[in-house]
Amino acid sequence: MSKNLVRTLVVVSCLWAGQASSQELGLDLRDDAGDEAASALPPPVSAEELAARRGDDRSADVVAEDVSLEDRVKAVQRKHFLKRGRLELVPTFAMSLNDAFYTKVGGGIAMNYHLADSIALSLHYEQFGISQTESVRIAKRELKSLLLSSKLEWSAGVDFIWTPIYGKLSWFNTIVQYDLFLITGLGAAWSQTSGDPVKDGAHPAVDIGVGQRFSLSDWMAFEFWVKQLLYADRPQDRQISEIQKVLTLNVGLSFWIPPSFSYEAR
Amino acid sequence: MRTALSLVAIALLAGSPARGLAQISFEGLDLSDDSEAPKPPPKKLTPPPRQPPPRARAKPPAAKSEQPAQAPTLSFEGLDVEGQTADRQKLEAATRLFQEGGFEAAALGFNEILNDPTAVDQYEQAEYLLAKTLYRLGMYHSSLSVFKRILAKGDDGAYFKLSLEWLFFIAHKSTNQSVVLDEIARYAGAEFPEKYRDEYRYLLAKYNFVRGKALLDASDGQPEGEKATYVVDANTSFDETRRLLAMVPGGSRFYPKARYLDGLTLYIAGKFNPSLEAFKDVVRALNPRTTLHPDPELREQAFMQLARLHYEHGQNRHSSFYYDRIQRGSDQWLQSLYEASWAHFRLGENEQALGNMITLQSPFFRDEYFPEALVLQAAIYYENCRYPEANRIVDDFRARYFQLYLELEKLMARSYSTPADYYGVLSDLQKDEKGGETNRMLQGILKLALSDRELKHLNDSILELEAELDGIAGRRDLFRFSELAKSLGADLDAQRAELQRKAGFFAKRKLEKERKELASLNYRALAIKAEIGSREKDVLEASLSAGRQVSPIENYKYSTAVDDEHVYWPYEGEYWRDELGTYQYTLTKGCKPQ
Amino acid sequence: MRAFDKLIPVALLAAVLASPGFSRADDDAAAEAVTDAKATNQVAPPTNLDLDERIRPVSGHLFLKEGRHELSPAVGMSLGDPFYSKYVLGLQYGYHLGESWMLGFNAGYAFSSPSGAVTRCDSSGQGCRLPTKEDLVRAPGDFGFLAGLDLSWSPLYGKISVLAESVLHFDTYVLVGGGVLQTRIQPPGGFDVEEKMTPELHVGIGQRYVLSRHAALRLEVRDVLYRLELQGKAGKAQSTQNQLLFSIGLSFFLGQGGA
Repeated sequence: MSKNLVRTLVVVSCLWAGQASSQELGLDLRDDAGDEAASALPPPVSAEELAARRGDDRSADVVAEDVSLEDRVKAVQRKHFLKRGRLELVPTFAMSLNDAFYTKVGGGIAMNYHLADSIALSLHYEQFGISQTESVRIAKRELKSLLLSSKLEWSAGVDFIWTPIYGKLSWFNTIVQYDLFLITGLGAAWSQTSGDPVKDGAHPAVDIGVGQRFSLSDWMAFEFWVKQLLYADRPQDRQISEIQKVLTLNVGLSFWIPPSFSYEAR
Repeated sequence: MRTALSLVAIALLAGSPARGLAQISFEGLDLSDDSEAPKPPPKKLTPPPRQPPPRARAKPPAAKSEQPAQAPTLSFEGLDVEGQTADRQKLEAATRLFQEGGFEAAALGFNEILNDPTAVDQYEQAEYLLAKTLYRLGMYHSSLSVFKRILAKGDDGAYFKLSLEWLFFIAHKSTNQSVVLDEIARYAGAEFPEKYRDEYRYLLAKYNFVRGKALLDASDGQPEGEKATYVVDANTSFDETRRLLAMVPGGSRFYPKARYLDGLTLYIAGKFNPSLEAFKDVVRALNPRTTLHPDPELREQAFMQLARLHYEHGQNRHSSFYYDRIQRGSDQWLQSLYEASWAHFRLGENEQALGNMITLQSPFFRDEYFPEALVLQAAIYYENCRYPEANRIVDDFRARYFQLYLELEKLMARSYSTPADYYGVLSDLQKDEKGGETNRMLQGILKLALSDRELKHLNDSILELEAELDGIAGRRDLFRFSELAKSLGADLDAQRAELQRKAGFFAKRKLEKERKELASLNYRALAIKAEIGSREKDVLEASLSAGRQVSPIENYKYSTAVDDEHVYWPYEGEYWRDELGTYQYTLTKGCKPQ
Repeated sequence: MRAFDKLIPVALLAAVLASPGFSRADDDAAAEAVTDAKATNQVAPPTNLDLDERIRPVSGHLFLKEGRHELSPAVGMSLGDPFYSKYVLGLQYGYHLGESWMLGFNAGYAFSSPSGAVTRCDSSGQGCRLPTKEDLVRAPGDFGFLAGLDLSWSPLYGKISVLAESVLHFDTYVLVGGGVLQTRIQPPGGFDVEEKMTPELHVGIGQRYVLSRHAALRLEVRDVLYRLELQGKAGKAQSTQNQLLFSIGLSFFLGQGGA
């Protein structure tokens, strides 16, 4: 046991002296007589020669198991942008993706408070206008029929945002980091049937979505997300309600309060 | 138990006198002081564009009534207040050329006056104007020679003070301030203009510090009695350094530099805590949010010194903290990664220590010189009973650096008659851009030599001088073949020879030092290899006596969890630029207790 | 007189000081002092290792495409289609000219059926039902075979951290190309459904998620643009049709390429 201790001491002390001498122009207080002695002779060309010089005949040809393949290498990188404890205001532009006849175009605002870096609560409101496509004319002509559709005017709600995935992109000579987040929540949708003359009131709504966030600076980020809004409505005052599925693409610039952050971990 | 003992051994060493080994570096003491104003690299200096032919030279002498111009200090004797003497008219004509930007012709004109034995009265002004003209031509070293001549005539000369001022301008323009430092020190008693006083005190302090350090270095090889004299002299220089630095006020642009130099001086005096405070003052004074004179490089140098001081005193956590302050990608970054590895090693943070090696050994920094990093790496594997890897690393070390050692041996074995010859070898290497493995290795030696700051600055100065010489060859024939050009050329050659002599001395010292370092490192690497051999033998013996395979290694516990501020990226061989410096290498097996 | 004697040099000195030669000498030093102060006060960019200049964002890519062939069977579906839903079976082939550029060929067959996006009701809004294919013979959007050439460019390479321990690499590409499309429609004034090969242009965007050195999952959205003659407000009119197609393919990479 003590032999091993001595060996370890030898190796580590060699290293120690090495580190000290590595300092360029460093004030060198060590007694380097040992080094002088070592460098007076040409350095040994092999461990065997060194062993012979030391009068040590131990050979070094025992090959042990190589386990380096099982080692793990990782990059533990600081997040480029911290969200924890910050409020985010996001003016957004939204457009429906899944209505071939009546495209809904609108905008709104979301206010997200990030409880942790990966979790946030959001309050949002969006107002929509309806734009009729060419397909409406064709459908009316060819099918000689009414087109039943729910005319969404606005929606609002509370969402839970979870950011479980981080990614990065190399784009020409730059590297961009981004977050990938999931959204889900409850709220209300106000359509043509909510007010006069039908007066159904606001329809309970559920939403679910996925999006990406690219930070542009400490206080601003670019975000986009796709969200499916689900609510029940009865277009044209029909008796039976149908589940309306409005898939929207939302794009926004977000502004963060406080406008800066600091890292706490080492 | 065995590994516990190893740890105890490390702990013992950490508390041993070895702690006194200096870790601080004087690298930050940049004699050229070129960190503030951007300057073109010396190699890129090109001859100035050809100037338009001098118009004024053909002009008739100015009418009497127009030209009362004279220097204030001219002797009144011989001054023709009614008209002008011929030499005075010559001076006027050359001055007009200078004013109109015809610097080449003006320089020739002033030189003509200086060579005219009848124009003695105009010499003083002509010489001063010649120095300024050469400065305007970008020939700073030539200009410096002429200013030196003016200064040498003493402080009662009419242009003495102005010339001192021009010394500062030249210092700011040339790559190596030390060429001016000697002159500044020579006229230490002179009264310097108020606006340069802080700079002057700082430069003079630096001069004294360098002197003290050189004396201290030289004292090493002296017999006991002489040694004491050297040390006393050195201490006198250090005291003078501190006295001058104390006169640089807190708000001055030179305050951070002065505090930095003060920190180094205190360190040499063994006053570690005041030294630490001095470096902290540098960091505070250069806080990017509050400072009026940002100097990120000096700030990083201060961080490095703080880290080294803490490391030296076994405060590894603090040391690591300061190493972490170094900006990724900065000049000091790779060095900080390397040095931080030692702090991590002492803290038992092998994951981080080995991770830094991945960055240092990545293909992008293959030409950087960190031979000892491999030895540290081998030691970590050894400590964890990972013998095959430790062996491989030692072999890799030898494959890479033993050849370099042999080349250095060869180089040092040649008999050179003067120190300048050593520089000559490096200079040839510098100009030889051919590829090839041997050449690459020799280029490595060059890089190694130039990693010595003093040598690098001398080298830069020599290149600057050579560029100035080439510049003369690129000028108009009238100038190129003139007497002035000849005398300037001869002067520059003499300056170059002197700088080469100094550079040769530094080159020899540095190469010799590195040769010894490599020999010693090689010895240490082989010591590790020998220890590995015997450990492996022990394992084999244990297996034989147990009648089954005995392995000293077992699985380590490890986690992939990271805190909320970090992202975990597994490394699979693909390098992402922004991940360099953030790698961690997890040993999943070993023999250290968890 | 003595006082006068003393005054002479003073007066001369004053004259000299006012003279251009001297003021130039002083001015020059003063001007240089200003320039010098400006230069020394300037914050020089700190010298650094120029990582962004010296090192490419990503080196030693695990997945290399240059000089390799990509064969990619795919299934797809139409998006946002007002009248017909299509499911497409297709095959793409591409040759990677470099890490970013690919030249390829695609072919596929679309199976179409009336979409559920519209309901046919009577004028009172009652008796609603989904339209049949016969109801939609004069509506655009029905097609069968499609084939064309693609040129794609992938400027983005990225990775996402998945469940901490693994990482998913991907590239993103945009493509442009042209080809033909077999349309099926009853033309204005006609009585039968006509099948016709119509030229098309397409643009698209897609991502390849790397599964191994030889395989990748490919997601793509492409917009196929073609011209069709429809009944307009005042007779026949040419109309440009947009057809969004989403596809998922499994790409196999053949050859060693430059790896």
